Amino acid sequence: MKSEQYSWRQESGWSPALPSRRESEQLVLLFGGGAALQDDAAMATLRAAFPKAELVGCSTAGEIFGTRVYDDTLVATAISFDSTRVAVHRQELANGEASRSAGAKLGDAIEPDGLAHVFVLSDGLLVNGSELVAGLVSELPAGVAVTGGLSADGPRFEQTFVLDERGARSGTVTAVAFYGQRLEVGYASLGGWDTFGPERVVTRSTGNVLFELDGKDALQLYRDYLGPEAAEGLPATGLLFPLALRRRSSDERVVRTILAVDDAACSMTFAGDIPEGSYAQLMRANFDRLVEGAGGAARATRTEFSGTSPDLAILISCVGRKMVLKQRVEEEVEAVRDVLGPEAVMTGFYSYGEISPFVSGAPCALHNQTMTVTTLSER
Amino acid sequence: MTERHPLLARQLARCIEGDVPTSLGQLLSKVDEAYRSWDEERRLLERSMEISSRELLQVNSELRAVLSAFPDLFLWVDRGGRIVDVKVGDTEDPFLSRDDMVGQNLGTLHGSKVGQKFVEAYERARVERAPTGFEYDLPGADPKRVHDARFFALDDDQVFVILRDVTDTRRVELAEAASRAKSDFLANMSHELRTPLHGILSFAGFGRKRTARDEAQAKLLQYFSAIEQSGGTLLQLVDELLDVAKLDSGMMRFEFAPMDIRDVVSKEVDHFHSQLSDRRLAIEHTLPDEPMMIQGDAKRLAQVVRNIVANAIKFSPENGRIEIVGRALADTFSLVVVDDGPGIPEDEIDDVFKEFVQSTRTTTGAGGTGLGLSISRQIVEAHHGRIWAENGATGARFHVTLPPLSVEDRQDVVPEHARVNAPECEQGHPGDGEPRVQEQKE
Repeated sequence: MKSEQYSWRQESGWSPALPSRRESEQLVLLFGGGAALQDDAAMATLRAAFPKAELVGCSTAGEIFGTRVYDDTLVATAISFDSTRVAVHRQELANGEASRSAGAKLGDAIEPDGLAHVFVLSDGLLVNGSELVAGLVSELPAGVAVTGGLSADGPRFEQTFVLDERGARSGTVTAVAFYGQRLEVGYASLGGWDTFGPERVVTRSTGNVLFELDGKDALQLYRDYLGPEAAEGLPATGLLFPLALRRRSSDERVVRTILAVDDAACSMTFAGDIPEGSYAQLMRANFDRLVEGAGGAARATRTEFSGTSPDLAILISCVGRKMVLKQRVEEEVEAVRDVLGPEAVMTGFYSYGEISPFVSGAPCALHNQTMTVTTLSER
Repeated sequence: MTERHPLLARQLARCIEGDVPTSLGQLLSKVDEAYRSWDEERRLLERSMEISSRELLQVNSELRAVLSAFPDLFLWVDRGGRIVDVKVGDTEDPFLSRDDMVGQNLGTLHGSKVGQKFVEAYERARVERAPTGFEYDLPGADPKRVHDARFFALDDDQVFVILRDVTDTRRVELAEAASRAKSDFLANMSHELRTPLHGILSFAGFGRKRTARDEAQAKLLQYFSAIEQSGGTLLQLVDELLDVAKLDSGMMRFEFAPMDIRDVVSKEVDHFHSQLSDRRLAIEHTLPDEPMMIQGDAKRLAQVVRNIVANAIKFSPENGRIEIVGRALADTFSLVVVDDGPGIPEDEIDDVFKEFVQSTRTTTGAGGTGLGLSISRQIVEAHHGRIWAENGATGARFHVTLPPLSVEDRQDVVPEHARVNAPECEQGHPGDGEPRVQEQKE
């Protein structure tokens, strides 16, 4: 398995220069800014360079190239597998309500025989991520893990894109199915956020739309915590206070991040379900733990391997982490590099939601505010 | 160009004389950006701390308000066994005041003997991480007070102790157990009494029939009749005791079936005819032409009618008149039994339905156990009906109301004529149309 990386900037084009035509690559992962993905010339050059490869990618809130994080560029990783086969499936999302069935249709389309792993990229705003994952997993053979993420639109939360045959499109989900006995996949997801303040009961919600906590307006609670200036930046600034959610009968917590606010309805839309009756607690970043969490996720992927670097690592980290880490965002990518070693090719993006089991063997779920690492190697 | 962050501007002024080199422009703008973001972060953190502290304080005071609503005494005990906080109880507090308790060791409460049990339970809760507790008699309390102590380990290795005065609860439990024992005893005794009574009655009847054929033994006939009559009265009393015992212990079983309440009334009135002629009493009953269908136990409802009519007969003067009126009201069937006796003293109207309570006017010679109306009330209530008494213009009026059969149940009812002619029908005795009532095993 061999991977090569290229980046594109509006002012300087592709760097290093793309091959004129190479047919050995089966898969190209492309992450970039929404505008860059719609640059016809850049995209045409890329497609021409790897005519036999499936081109899979999405818009981001930051692209990862090695240990650097860029905005509004394109980062392409061209992969040629020795023996692994890939198949790409796509599904349109009608609206949030149809997320589960879209996931199920996508899962149904994937040939189960010899399936080693599924990597999925979804529109980041027109989807209920929890439902999408539940639908997808319901149609896959037991033991096959799904990792991936929700595409992003920087800190704007206006429109996200996923690539299909025609280009960058909204309302699309893409799944890459990997087949082959020699493919080894590692994955893990870790947060690094601390809960604070009282635990509150979700007293009014519908699906992933939250109205009230403890019988009080949830949106107003966020406004109070953010202060008048930062509240102007909602929904993006809401990422500074994700919600830790605990079901009534469970100690296990999931993290939910805000996608949109509706001032008229006094509601907030989150990337996953907020069931009524569950307990919610605000979270805030602990800088050191965010970086430690990224390294921890990388370490957890390595339990599957015997100490050597993986061939490729796909890092999907939450836009909320980038907002907190700001100029130091690369420190969390460097923490992953420190664990995986210098040989691993690293790509990925900052997302509106991460999809992965927390650790190997755990059920696949949508996460928010985490660093999710998927490693691929052929042995 | 926007103004530099004040701190950066000051640092540059202190460290660089003259103009800042343009080559540092990009670096300085990144430093400026970092300073500003740290400012934002600091403000957010300070604001979060402030709001969160306020909210936690509110949660804390709400929790204390909730806890204060409980009458129990709460103790928070630290990992060294020292009482660190107290919420005093509402009940008469045998303990020291809050201020006296805070700081004390748990083992010193209630002296060494109970204190030792406190310490043991406290240790057990911490080691096993599970609730534990015990009951104890409060030392020196007269009359005796029983307290319940429960121990819960908290996350921070503290133990939360709840002390509750359960004296009244235990007293009620003991009373209930005694009441159950009394009912069981009554049920058993009534059963034991009936067996020899049946023997006496059978042989009295047998003797009376034999002696009736012989004029010379007229005196003996009189004796046998007296034995039979007394035995019959005694049997009725025992039956009533048995019913009370069963009703009290919840062991009375009802055989509910769709039935016409008019049949029960007519049949019971017929049974009383002989007594009416003896005392020259008149009884009239007015029932609607339409059936009064209810879901009921015919045998038990007959007992109710019998009790009320017997009661009316008991209190009626010679040449008196008893009237029974049945009516179908909007959503209920009503039976009213009116007599022209002395009525019930107003302050006894509610009590006549209690067990062993009789109207003071009974002592004027009416007799009885005082159980019939109590049994009737329990039977009517088991039918979701009501029974009550009031004084009319001339005497007492007893009202019984019963809910009519629902429309759905009505559709399942086999018509009277069909029931009579159907030999395999389990709803009634062939020939008499009366609902079959499974005999209670007594």
